[in-house]
Amino acid sequence: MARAIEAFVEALGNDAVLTSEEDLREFRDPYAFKGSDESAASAVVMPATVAQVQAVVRIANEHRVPLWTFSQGRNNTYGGPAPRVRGSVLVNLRRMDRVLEVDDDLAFALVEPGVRFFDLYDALQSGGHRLWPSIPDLGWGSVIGNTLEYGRGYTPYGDHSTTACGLEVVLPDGDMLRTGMGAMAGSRSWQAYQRGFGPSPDSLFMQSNYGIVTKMGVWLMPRPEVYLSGWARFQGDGPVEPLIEALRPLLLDGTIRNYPVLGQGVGLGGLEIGDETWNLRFALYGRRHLVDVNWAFVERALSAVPGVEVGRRVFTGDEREGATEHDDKVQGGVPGLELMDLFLIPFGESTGHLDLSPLGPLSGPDVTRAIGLMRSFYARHGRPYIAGLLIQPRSVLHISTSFFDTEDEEQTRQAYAEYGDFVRELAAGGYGLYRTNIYSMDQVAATYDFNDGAMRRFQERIKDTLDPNGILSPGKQGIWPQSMRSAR
Amino acid sequence: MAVTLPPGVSESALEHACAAFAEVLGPDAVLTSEAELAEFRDPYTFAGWDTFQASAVVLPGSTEEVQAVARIANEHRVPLWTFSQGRNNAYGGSAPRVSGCILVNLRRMNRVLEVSDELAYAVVEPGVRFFDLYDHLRAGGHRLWISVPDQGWGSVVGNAVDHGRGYTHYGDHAGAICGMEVVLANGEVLRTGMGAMDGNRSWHVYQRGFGPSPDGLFMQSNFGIVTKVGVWLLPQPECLLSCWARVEGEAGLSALIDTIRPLLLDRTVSGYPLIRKGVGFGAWDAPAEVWGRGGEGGIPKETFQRIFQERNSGWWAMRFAVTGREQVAEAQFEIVREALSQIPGAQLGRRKYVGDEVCAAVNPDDRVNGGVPGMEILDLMKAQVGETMGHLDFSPVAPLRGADVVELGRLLRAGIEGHGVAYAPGLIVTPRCVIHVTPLIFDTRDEARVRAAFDACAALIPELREAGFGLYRTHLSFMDQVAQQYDFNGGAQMRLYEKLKDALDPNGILAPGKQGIWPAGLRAGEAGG
Repeated sequence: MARAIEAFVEALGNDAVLTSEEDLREFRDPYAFKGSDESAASAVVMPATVAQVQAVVRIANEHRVPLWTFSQGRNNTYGGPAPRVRGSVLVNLRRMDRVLEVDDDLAFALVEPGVRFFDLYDALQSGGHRLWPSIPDLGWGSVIGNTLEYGRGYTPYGDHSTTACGLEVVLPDGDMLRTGMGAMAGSRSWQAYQRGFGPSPDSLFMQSNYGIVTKMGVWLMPRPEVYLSGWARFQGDGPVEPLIEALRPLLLDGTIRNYPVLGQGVGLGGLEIGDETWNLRFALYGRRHLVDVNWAFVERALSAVPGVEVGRRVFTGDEREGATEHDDKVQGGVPGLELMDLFLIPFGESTGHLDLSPLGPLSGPDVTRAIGLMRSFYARHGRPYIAGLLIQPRSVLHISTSFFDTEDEEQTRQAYAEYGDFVRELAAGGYGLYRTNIYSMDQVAATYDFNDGAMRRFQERIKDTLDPNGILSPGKQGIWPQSMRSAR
Repeated sequence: MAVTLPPGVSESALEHACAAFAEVLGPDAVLTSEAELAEFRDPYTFAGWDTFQASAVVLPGSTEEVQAVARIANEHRVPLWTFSQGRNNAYGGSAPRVSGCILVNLRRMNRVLEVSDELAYAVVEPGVRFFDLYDHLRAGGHRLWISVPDQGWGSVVGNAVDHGRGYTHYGDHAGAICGMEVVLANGEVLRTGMGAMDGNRSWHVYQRGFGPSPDGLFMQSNFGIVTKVGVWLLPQPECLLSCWARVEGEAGLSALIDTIRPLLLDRTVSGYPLIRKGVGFGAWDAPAEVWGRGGEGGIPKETFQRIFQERNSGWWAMRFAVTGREQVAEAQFEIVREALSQIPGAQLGRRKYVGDEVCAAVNPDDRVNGGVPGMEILDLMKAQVGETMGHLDFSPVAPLRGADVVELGRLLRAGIEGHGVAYAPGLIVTPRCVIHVTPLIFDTRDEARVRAAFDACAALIPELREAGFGLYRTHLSFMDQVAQQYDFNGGAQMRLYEKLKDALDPNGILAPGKQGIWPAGLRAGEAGG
């Protein structure tokens, strides 16, 4: 390891390699037990260019050192910047933070991994671009990092992995390629057409350990004339099923084009544990008269469900920067950190939380069933059910959150143990997780068991061929290199 | 005539392989006679050329049988070439890149396995044609639209996995796939996305899974045989406005491109417009008889003559649609009208269909806009040249900017007309790019004309590359040449493809040479063709 560190220093410079315990502390999983070293890194390297990323990868191969990459490292509740394998060298891409291009006509940007949602938003605003980014509830994460984890935002471009267009990737052996039309040097269409000539490997590099993404094209939404931030509210679970049934056709026919969220137990004022209120947020965008017409359809459909109250706040396209309500900001592509305070309520600064994220179909009865499963589980463990349903036209992410004190070892251990039990129960009920924390990756991967684990075998074959020395993020999504496999 | 052997395979080895296939699939599922194989030659080439010939055809009827075919091929080291319906015409049809391949014909696997009205998807096997899925949905009273290319006889699966396109909301066919089942080269069955979990409820409603998504790897490739897909469908819109716009000259085309772009980006216009020279079908408001509806024999010759006459008029016609709730669609049409009125001389028209009225539409463009499959475009091309018509499609991609589209058009026109072939493109318009499909039409009996078409393309490939335009799809003859144009960082993409090929198909039994991807054994000096 010492010689590897020397080589890193020689390649990147002294200030780009961190080894002191103090420096490394910043890169722990913020939601692990504070006293745990389970996912401690041995060093952090900070390449600033693609060539430096290639150098890092080559050094790692030469010295057989495991790396773990992060773009901004804000993958909180899933491990943050921390590695699956203790002692890994973290590859911190924050220095690669340029917005390389913005195209007003074709409505895209080309970004590096260190570009945060805040940075992209600022670049668009300061450049006078009439383009809106899609952002998650917290704006401090990396546009690329979030996309690569199948993360989501809340404008019509919120399915981030499908609005990416063109990647540049450093492979585990140091080779470097561009996907789609970018595979042709000098192509005019790298960010204009999502496929290329031949198979598309783009999503092979998502939720995986097959390469380090160093550039990504991201499609943006042209600023609408008007933006309507809509809400609906009701008490108790009774209206959930008919509401879902009323909402789905509005999503499928494009009346509502963004990704609504239905939540309970969380409000802006804080955690509303035990409160039976459900809140739905959704949005409409476009020319004023069309938004008005579509609003009338939405209002009629949703308020026809007994107990449901509906309302809206309307902004012109150039005034949404003035929005102060969190939901208005996030559905308008304005990044913020308002929710951070909420996450600290239960135990103060040392509060940790775990998100459980199974996916199910967007059918009223199934949603009711899934909620019932979740309620029952949380009740059995004496926990509140804090829910956020991330809605897409045909499916829904049933996100629920558990809080614990990261300074309390037993409490923390208990939270993760329950999580594991729940993963088992959900799989038995036909629900898979779309994403998980680093400690649960093996367990969750094992639930994808069709044909005796055919997918895992497939993933391992790709791993062995692209990364024979197993230096890139071993264990990510339960994909282990050959040398570490028998120990599992 | 002697059978065409695959490279490195003796006649007796081939016989043994065929015997093994027959034992598992039944003798009627293995075809070896010259007459039977003739059906699967590239229909759009000169018959006297002996390129791209198969040695046999097998017809598995199930996923299990496909698995057996793969295992036998590995055991006997014989190469396969798969097709779903085999209508990849203009790109090689059902013919293999490497002569001597055994064709895997999936037409027998033709079931629509599931339709969900609630979640708007269908699950289909590879043999299901657009016609079949459409008929199935109509017969079952499902108010769901499919997306169709201009010819409906192709496979829903086959078209999608070759990056094919249609024109309604889900016209990006590869992007409308949700959940695949694939047989790998070693005979193993893989299900992607949420299907990788036994009993999971969400296989066809969520396009990702847990971990990397390999779905895109099985498209335009030779890494596996797709045996099932989920495909997203569009709930029948309340109203379809099937529209056309006409503009004059290059200036008009350029302005049209720049005008339509924001209307696609904000979804004022639905689906994917198509731009062609002259009148096309849509811009002609004509009664049923003109389209041969209600009579015999299809579209009358006079109709086609009129269309051909208009081709060189200097006009461009765009077919497009506005769909949705009636009130919204009408308002959106007004927005389009206002925008197009800024282009001097632009003309605009539309026909309106409510509910499922479009199923009985007479205008062929209206039918495509409504997801109703047909074959009129084939009839149009045949009317030009005769029953022995063939065409070679040359299909580069350009960003959706007027100047870029005009520049590409000029390069194409010069290159194609320079070889004595008529320039008659169909520009598939997406919100950010154009796929400039350019059919070079000829009589397949005229060797010189066919040769001229292929020569035109071969010359254009490097010329377009110099100007930054790449092809989205190509004929078997050009797969290596086109793949070589994708040369960023010394061909890094092909290096990746070859690594994946060697890992997933070490014996190189699946479609060798497809998209220029060769197994290790055939890599140094390409064989066949």
